[in-house]
Amino acid sequence: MGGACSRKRDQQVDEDGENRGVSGRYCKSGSFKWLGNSLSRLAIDNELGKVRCPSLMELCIYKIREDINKYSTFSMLPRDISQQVFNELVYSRILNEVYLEAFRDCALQDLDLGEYPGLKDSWMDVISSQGPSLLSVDLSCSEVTDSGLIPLKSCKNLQALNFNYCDQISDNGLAHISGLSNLTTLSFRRNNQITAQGLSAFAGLINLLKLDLERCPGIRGGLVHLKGLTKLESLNVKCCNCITDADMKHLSGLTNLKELQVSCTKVSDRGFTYLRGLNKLSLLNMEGCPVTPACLETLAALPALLYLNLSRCNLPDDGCQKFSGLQNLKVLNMGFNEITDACLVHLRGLTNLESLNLDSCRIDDEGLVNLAGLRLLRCLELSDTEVGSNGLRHLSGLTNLESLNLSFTVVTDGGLKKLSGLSSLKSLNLDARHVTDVGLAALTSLTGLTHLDLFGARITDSGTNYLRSFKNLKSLEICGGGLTDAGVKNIKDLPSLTVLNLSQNSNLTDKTLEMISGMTQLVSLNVSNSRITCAGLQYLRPLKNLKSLTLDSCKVTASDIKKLQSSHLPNLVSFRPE
Amino acid sequence: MRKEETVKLISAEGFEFVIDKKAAMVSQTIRNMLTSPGSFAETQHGEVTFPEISTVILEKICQYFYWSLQYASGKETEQQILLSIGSLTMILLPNAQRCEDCCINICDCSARLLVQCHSM
Repeated sequence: MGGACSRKRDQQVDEDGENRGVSGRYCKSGSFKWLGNSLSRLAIDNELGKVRCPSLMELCIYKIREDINKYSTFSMLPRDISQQVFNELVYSRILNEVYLEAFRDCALQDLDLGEYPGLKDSWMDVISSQGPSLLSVDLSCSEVTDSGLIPLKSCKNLQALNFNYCDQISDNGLAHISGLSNLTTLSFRRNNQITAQGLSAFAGLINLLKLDLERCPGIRGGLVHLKGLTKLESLNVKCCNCITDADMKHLSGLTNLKELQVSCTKVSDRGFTYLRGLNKLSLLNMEGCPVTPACLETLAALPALLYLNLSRCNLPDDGCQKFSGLQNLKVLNMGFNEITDACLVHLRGLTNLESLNLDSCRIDDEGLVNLAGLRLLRCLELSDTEVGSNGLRHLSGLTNLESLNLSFTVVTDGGLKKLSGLSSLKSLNLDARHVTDVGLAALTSLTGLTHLDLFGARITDSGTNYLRSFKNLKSLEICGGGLTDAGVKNIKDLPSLTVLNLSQNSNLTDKTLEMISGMTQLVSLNVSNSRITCAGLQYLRPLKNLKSLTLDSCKVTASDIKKLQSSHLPNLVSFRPE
Repeated sequence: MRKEETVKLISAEGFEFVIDKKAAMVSQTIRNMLTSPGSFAETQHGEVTFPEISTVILEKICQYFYWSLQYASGKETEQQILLSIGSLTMILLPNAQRCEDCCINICDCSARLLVQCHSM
């Protein structure tokens, strides 16, 4: 145990773009979805339902953090402990160049400094002093330049390097890491300077398993240098709009590839034919590529393919009969294509599907009959389609469904009772104007729901009575304008709610905030476009877990919220008005 | 206090700390020692000897056990124990985790680490 038990690299270097927490420069959207990944310690503890007592180890580390000025070196501490001290200083954002010096020669293994403020070339000397112990470094979003990479040459055992959003690193910098042949994971997302010349430095990294070059627009012709990296299992060249069919040829020998992301590139049907023979390929993302249904023949010949993203490819019905050959697929995204019900006929046999996305396709009630036999479906996305109440009867047998999106469809109250037997449902999106209190009443049997989106639905105070059935709700959005303070009474007792959006209900007053004041588990709250005033903010003081607060178009100013933040809400990281 | 409700923790120097069993059971390691089936000396006599843990450290550890019981019931704050840890931090640190939650041999580990730390 010892060193091994405190090392958590697998989590840090977990990389799947979809799963990774996004914050800061990575994501400018106001979506609350990122909050799930950045919950504070406090919030996580509460999620477990009890206050967790810090261990003696943690207390000692907090104490060191408090007295950090007293320590000039940690090099005599066992490595696993100095690693934890380091992690704590990073977590609390206390680490600076001066304190970093205390970690010189500490034989640390993981320096997870992604998005760390102030990180620049002058830090690299201490970083590389960890020498052969150093296994992973994350310098994402830093100001590090080419010359900052020179000292890393001596860290021969490095396995993982992350330079996402490091826009001052160019081809010259890449040359410095070309000898780190133990690297298994390398990430250089969103770099405008790297060219094909720079990629030649990767040719010797023969142990590379995972390479991420998402949004590097200058690497035209560079994939030739990856030809010899036959161990490669995952390659991401998403949004590298310089990648063409000719580049794909060089991937044809990478027979260990399991994941390939080429979305939003110029690769066409011909380019994808080079993937024949990649018998381990299980994930292929070709979103937005200029392909036709002819590519389906190539895809059907990939024996291990389980996850396929074909969204935004402008696929028509013609030629789509070849979908029937993709029987192994578990996940299929066909959103934003030109397909109609005629294409859905060919999905009938894809009985292994667990997730199907038909967002904004031209399908309607008739087409859904073809999905009735897909009994393993857990996730179905029908947003922005012509699906209405009549079609829902075809879904009532899909008892494994956990997530269903019917937003912006023409579904009405009358059809919703067809969903009442879907007892596995956890997430339901009914953001549709034709849904009212009556429809909600038909769904009270869905007691497992954790996420309910009724954004545009016309829910009134009396409809909120039905919400009492959903004791497990973690997130709720009701923004149809029909709520008053009286309706909030039924919401305030939902015990698990962490995300609540009641914006656009213009009759809500400070009384609403008074009722919400007991919902101490709330992480995100939005009551924009209401009659909330500055006087109501006092009721939010007990909401210590609140990370996001949105009160746009209320009688509340940014400075009112800032005052509340500094006096009572230490975890608040995002608020509006700002 | 009845004898069955207490346990005796003995330090390297032979100093004996008699504490509530409830407090000692904060440590998973000690809990295992005291509750394991069979007739181990620890289970029978309610005594645990730590030949590699010095008195000064064992005292802090006992203090932590009591503090964590109070903390769980909301009667103590983090700041109070942090003050008490004070200057002992660096000696305590390498022992802390082992004493509380490691299932491996507590004594072997702390011995190895104490040597490194005392040399500071």
